[in-house]
Amino acid sequence: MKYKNYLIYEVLCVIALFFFIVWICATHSGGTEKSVDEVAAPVINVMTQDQMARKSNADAGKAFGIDIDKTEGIVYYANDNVMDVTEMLIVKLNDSGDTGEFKEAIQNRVTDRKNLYKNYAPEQYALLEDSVIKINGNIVFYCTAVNSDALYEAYKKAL
Amino acid sequence: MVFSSATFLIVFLPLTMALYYLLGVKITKSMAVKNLILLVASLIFYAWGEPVYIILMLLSIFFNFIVGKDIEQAQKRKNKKKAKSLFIFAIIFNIGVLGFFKYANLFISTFAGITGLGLRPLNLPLPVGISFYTFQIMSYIIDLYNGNIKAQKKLFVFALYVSLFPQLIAGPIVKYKDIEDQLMNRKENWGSYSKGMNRFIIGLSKKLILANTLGSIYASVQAAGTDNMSVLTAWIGIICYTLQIYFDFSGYSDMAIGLGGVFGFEFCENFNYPYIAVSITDFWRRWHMSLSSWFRDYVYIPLGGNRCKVPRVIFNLMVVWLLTGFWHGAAWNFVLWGIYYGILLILEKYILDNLVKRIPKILRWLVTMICVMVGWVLFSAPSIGEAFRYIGVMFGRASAFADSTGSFLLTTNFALLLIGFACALPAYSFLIGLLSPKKRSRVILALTPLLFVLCIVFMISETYNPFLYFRF
Repeated sequence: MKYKNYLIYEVLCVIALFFFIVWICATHSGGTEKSVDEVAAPVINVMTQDQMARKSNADAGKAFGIDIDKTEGIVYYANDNVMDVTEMLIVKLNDSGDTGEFKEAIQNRVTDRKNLYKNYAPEQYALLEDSVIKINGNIVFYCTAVNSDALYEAYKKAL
Repeated sequence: MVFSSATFLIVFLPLTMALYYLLGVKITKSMAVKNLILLVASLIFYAWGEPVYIILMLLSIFFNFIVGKDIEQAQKRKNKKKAKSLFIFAIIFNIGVLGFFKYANLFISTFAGITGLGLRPLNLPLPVGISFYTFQIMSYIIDLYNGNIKAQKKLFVFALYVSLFPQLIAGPIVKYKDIEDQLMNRKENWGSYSKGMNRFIIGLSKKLILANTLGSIYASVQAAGTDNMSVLTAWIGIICYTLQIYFDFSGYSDMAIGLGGVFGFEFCENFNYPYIAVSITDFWRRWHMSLSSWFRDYVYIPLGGNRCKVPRVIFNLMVVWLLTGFWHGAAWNFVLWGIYYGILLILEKYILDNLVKRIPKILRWLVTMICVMVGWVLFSAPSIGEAFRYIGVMFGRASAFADSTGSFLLTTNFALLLIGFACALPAYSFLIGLLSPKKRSRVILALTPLLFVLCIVFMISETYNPFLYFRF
């Protein structure tokens, strides 16, 4: 039987794991000690007048199908016009292990709304296409708006 | 992706089945093509929620595949020392990965709490299903090292074993030796397909119709807090949770086993009516059987099992139950839950054995169920303190025995609780068993589409849809 040296692959795997951990810690860890309202305040300042109105936690639970008992705090803004998809959600979770579940719930909502608006409201569909969903530690940020980049920048600075 | 989501039921599953049966079974008739379709589907399924962690899973697959081949090579060359070093290396790698991503936060925050150092937890998102697939990988490495199996030669077949989507996220934990043959030789037929779909729909209805409805009752009880809770409310709450966790987890297992059947696989059973158990030992022979057998085969027996002196057996049991608790979650209440069962099993085995045998069966069942429900309080509570407060209320440390909330919950949910009990006990199997095989298949044929329609109705109307075992 011919001898094969697998050591190089094993070492490469360990090195790759090390770099993956460093990268994931740099990009996904952290979150913040601040309350969700403190994080949301500068983001709300970036909103244009009448762009969105504050909604309750129960509204957020209903809209996104998320379990609000798993959250430490929620800030949810949405436009009251049913033909306007503009909305912004910031959730601070009790357990960062639940972020995947929340991200999926948000993605499902975006997909559902895309299907809904695709044929008769292309400008709303385009906004949904540019939606921002980000996770930082135990904080989940989601935004669909004309100025979503500015809102996201404000959020990043607030962390 | 979640089995009970529209994306899975309307897009992912039909597309995967169509590709598998058309391209794999009908056109090419090639096992490699079938496996490749399943592998690609499984990777998409996993990447759906949190795509970055697919890198971790692929890394883990590649590493263990290579180490497995290396261990086998070392064993063939009679190099025991190298085989052992590689085995330890692989175990450290797998436990290290699981430990870092699942337990780092717990240890950092506990250490910071004890020492007063201002350390901040990493708060990394938990890779979905990491506990399940790591345990599957470890079963492969351990069995390979012990000479019970041969190393898998094809990387993509090994990757399919680890990532197979029906059981990837919440089990059952399938050992490689149990599925090795099926990965390369399996036959799909109409029987296994229809049986699988039927089982999938039963699982889906357990989850969507029963678990979610019962879960919302427990959530409302828990949200009200223990301060003004009556004894009755506390018991209704925990009975709902007891039924919810069973229907949630066994529903997921049914769906996994059913989907396995659709693609020609036969997965091990995970539940056998745990709520008819008449002792704690009996309960754990019926609850999450794939995890219990994993710990028995790879921890309890290697430690010496029960073929040693009593103190050593007690030590072995406590190690297994401490690890079982830890496996379930990175929080101290899970550890306490594990220790609680360890102590109960030791008491049952060495002190209460003779007494238990003399008690009537119905009383043994009642005591077992009370112990199990107390266990679920430890399991579900947000903190240990809250768990003890809830248990206190259950056993009389409450403002009242019954109040309007408790009466309201009981009267409005009485029928649901009865249905829940009937479905958790083998009543359905008993009744359907009374029918002749021909009538039985007719009843199943009529009931299954009805259940599926009902599931769709529940799926559309309900937004709250979590799987309790996803975070493990």
